Amino acid sequence: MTGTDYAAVTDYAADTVPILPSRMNRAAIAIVRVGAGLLWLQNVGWKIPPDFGRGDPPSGLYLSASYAVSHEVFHPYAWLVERVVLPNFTIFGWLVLLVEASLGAFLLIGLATRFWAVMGMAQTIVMLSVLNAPHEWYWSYVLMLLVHLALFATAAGRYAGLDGLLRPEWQHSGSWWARCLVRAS
Amino acid sequence: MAALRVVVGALPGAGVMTARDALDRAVLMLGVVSVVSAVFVLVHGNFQLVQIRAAGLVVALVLGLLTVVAGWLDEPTLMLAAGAGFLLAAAVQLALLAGGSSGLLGGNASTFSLWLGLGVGLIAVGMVPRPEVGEETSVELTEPHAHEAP
Repeated sequence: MTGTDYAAVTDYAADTVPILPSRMNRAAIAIVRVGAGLLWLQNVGWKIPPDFGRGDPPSGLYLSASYAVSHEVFHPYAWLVERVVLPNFTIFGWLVLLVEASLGAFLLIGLATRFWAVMGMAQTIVMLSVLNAPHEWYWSYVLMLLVHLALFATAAGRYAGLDGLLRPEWQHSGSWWARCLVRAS
Repeated sequence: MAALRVVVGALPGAGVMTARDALDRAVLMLGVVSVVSAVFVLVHGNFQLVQIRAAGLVVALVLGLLTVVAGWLDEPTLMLAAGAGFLLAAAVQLALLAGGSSGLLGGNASTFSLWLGLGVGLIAVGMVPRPEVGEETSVELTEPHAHEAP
């Protein structure tokens, strides 16, 4: 095979070979997506409104967030948590609850999966602020980050997820909303 | 709707499948998830993925079975009704949590998350225009990667 032929074949292959060519691979990435969704779903359970653990003594999400100050990882972030987040903790708590609940919900059913994979990475990066807190294991955060990266890279909702079912419909729709969903899936 | 081609590559046993079949199977699966979530009434500790208690058990079973029936009968109206039911239950659970208790539904934020997903999923699938029965036979859903090496 000449170099030119090889280039032609690989170009063709890049266009036609799917990201996950075997059924086993597709099942595996579906399991990863559902598993990640279930982890978020379980993890949101200990975010308890309306005060999210703000009290004397502090507990729950408030205590966890305060570790970003008492066990500082990155000074500017610790400053932000101390001056902005903790004084306005109700808003922050609700934001965390809604984002994590949505992560669980949307990753579980595989809808707008790439968007939520990016959100999962962002939320994991936020959680890195408590890396120095007692009993934290930094590998868990790195693993979370990598899992969401894999979900994004493989467009995991297209396999046994609603993205796979609904994406062709969105692609044929001219609406702005459908175009957004095509990108998000 | 002839253009409706549904990718069902990961669904086991799905060689050729109609659009309606694929949508109905997805709805059926969402219903099964809800019914299975009732198991967590009995599970506590690390493996309790979602908190299902009290009236929340009724929501999980009744709406779950309604969803299964909707998928079984290929009935979009029932799908939308079940989806709206889950979203309503999720909203009520969230409002109860905001009030400082699990309330009558007995759930927590994980319960809200599960019902949110089921509700959004059912509404999304229920709103897809269905091919007419006569047209359906011409709508072929191919497994896009079947020709690829495993």
